[in-house]
This record gives sequence, C-alpha cells and structure tokens, in this order.
Amino acid sequence: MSDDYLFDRSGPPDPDVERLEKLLAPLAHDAPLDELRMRRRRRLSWFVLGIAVAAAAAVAIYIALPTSHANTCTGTGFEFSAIGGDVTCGGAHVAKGVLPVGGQLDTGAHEASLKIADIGTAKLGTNTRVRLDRTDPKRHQLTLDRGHLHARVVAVPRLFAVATKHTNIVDLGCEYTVDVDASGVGRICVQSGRVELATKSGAVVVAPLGTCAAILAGQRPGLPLGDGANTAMQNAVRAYDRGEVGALDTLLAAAETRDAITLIALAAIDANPTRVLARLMELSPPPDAEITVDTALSDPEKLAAWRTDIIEIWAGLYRPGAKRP
Amino acid sequence: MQLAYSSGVEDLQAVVVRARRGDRKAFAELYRRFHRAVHGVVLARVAFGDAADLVQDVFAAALERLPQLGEAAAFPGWLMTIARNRAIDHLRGKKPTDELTDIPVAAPRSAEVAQVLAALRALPEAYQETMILRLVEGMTGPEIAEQTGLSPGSVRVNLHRGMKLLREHLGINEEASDVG
Repeated sequence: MSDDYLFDRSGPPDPDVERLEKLLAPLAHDAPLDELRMRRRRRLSWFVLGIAVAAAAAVAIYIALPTSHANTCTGTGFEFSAIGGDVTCGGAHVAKGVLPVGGQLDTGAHEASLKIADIGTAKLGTNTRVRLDRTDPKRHQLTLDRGHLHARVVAVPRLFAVATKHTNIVDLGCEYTVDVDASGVGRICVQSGRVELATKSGAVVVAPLGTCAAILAGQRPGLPLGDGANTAMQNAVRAYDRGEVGALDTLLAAAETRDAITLIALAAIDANPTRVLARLMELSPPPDAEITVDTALSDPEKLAAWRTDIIEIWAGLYRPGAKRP
Repeated sequence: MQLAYSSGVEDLQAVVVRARRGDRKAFAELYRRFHRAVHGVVLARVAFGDAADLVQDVFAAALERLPQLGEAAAFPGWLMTIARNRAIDHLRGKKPTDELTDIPVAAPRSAEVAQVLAALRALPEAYQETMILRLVEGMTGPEIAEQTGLSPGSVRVNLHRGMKLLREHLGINEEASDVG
C-alpha cells in the first residue's frame, strides 16, 4: 500500500492508519494558552534575573577563593574513579565519586573509569567531558561533549546511548570507542556487537563490529567502513563523507564483496538507493529470493533482513587484527 | 507548492519577531501554531497525564527566553529543543506513573490506547516523535516538517519506517490489512 495517506492524507486511506488515528485522537492537545502562567512567568523573570546576577557574583567570589570545593558529585548516578590524578566533577577536583543526572565530568590531564549503571563500563581519555543526561530502567544516556570514550555494555539493545553534538550513538549490545573534538566531529570504531548511528534529521546507519565510521557535522552519519578495506574504498568513503561530487560512482566501483557492510549502510542514507542496492545485489545477494532491489526499497523489513544477512556474513569474515583476506 | 511553503516560513518569522518585541497576540499565535507539535514531542517521553502541563511550561520558558533567540527562522527547532529538554528534566527522579488512569478514553479502549502509546515510545528515537505527531496530534507530514525543522523527505521516511515497526510491535499484518 502507498504511504501517501500516512504522509499527507492524500491517496486511498490506509485502514490501519485510520484506525490508529481514531483510537489516539482523544489524546491530541487542544488546551488554550495559560495566560496567567505566562504573566506570572514574565514577572518572575525580572525577579529571577536579579537573583541570577546575585548568584553569579557569589559563584565568582567562591571560585576565586583558594579553598577546596565541596564535592557535589554524590548520590544517584554513574560511579567514577579517576586514573592517574584527580578529575573535575561539579567544579570539584576529586579522585572518585558519582556523576549525577545533569552533572558534568571533565578528565583534564587524566583519565577516568565510569560505571554505566549495572550494564557496563566506560573508560574516558584525557581532555574528555561527559554529562549524564539520564539513567533509569528505560535508558541510560551520556552526552560526550569532547574527548575519548570506550564503552563496553552488556544489555538489551537501546538501553544505553551516547549523544554527541551531531550524532546519537545507540548501543545495540556491544563495545566501541568514540572520539570527538569540541566541534562534535570525530570517529567511532566498533569492537564487538553493533551500534546505530542516528543524526537529528532521522538518518540512521548501523555499524557492526570491525567497522569505523566518521562522526560528521551535518545531516547524515558517516559510512561504516570495515577493517581491511582496500585503499581505493577507503578514499572513496572519505570522499563520500565529505560530500564530493562523483564520490558515489567511485565508491560503487571500488567496493568488493567485503564492502557490502558499507553499501548496505549507504543504501539507507543515499539519495539514489536503487543504484546502491543494484551493486549490492552483485556483491552480496540477499538471503531470500523475495528480496529484490524493488522490494527492499519499498519494504524496510526486507531491507533489514538483507542487512542482517550481510552483517552475519561480515561477522564470519572478520577477524580482529587479521590481514585482508 | 514551494512558493506556498516559503511564504509560510516568512509569515512565521514575522510572528516570531513581533512576539519577541512583546506582542502578546503574536505569542498566542505561536502557541496556536505549535502547541500540538510541542505536545507530541513531550508525549513521546512523558505520561499523558503530565504532558499538557509540560506544554504550558515549555511555552512559559519560550516566552522568557524569546529575546535570546538569534534567528527568527530557527524558532521551530529551538522550541522543540526546549520541549525535549523539559520532558527529560521532568523524567529525572520521577517514578513511572500508571498511564491508564489518565487516558481520557473509557476502558477497555484505554488499555488499547496505552498499549499503542507504549509501542510508539518503543520505536527508535528518530521515528517516535514523527509518528506521535502524525497519529496522536493529527498533523500531516508537511506540517510536521515545517514545525520540527525536519525535511519533508525525512518525515516521509520516518513515517514509513515507523509505521512498519509499529505494525510489527502491535502484531498487525499489513498484507491482511491490504486485503481487508
């Protein structure tokens, strides 16, 4: 069935969509603006401004004093230990503590190990800043502002995520290393399992073990490239990530069977997925005769089945540290 | 079509500029245009019973910070960021509530609504908001794109993939639906 009705209500109605619309319609928001609250907030804002100025002055004086800061990094959150020297949490230099939700940890010249709730650990490199956004039974999420993070997680998919300025890294059960600079640009390498890289525009690629991907500034995630890819393929992926004209042609020509792992990710984000899937059909045909270029394009389930097959083949091929087959 | 879209963007910018100067009618107009989108973004994260109050909270924060907004054209994305942050702040330290008691639908439909809401929230993040804006708030894809800052193409893809996954979660057989 066409998605036109789902998208803009043109075309024949999709019965499932219609039924869900009807079921959920009572939840739609229709309350008017609470004028009273807005007025109160406006009056308060002047009052708050005065308080804020006074508080900022107090903080400035406090920071200027040569006394040690109280450790505000206690309570509920992610436990951490500094490695090689103190790190900064909540403005205090500490050897260990708890990073609370909303708290910020800076490693400065040292490193730190971080316990990710009860599902894993992370090691933070030097000059790394992380913030804890959330930790609850549904999601544990850190923001990596800059630096180096190596995470190892054993949990159900999507329970742990690392947000960076441009890309969210969602754990699908794995171990990986992320490096980003202060502008949010960097690289992720996956050592086991797989991760999902999603940008704020909704573009998503899956990077499995033995691949690295650039973390780019912009609307789409970098392409995962398998360890041991040939030099032409490496150059082509870099050119594609930079958005160079003609990079797609070069990339498709350079791709070998082992690069199916890159092409299946490319099919999810490129404006011309038909060409990518046609090339993929030559390099790594789908596991099922029902999956064709056309059906994979129209049916995300079929595309996902093809992706799973490619990842499984890749996992069988991949040997950490091994030379190119 | 493109002209109409551009014209809409300009109108919005004019409204934002007026609201920034303290024009209360202009701010009310912004609320009228964006309250459903804000509610959808919040509802993707918090219980239905808490969402309406948070919507007012988001607009109160927006009113307060509007003078700090640099580009009027950035208003939709800026407002949605406030909504997401408010929803996340709200969740901190809050125990999960029983959504069934708040849903304005009589049992047994309320249980089904809660089940569908849970399935929507279980979707990958990229699809959650778009699907809730479409199915709960009744917005069309082009409206979602205009009010969230996503491209219409991304919204279409999010809706397509989100709907496929939702069918899976809910055990709806698409082929059977097509036949029926």
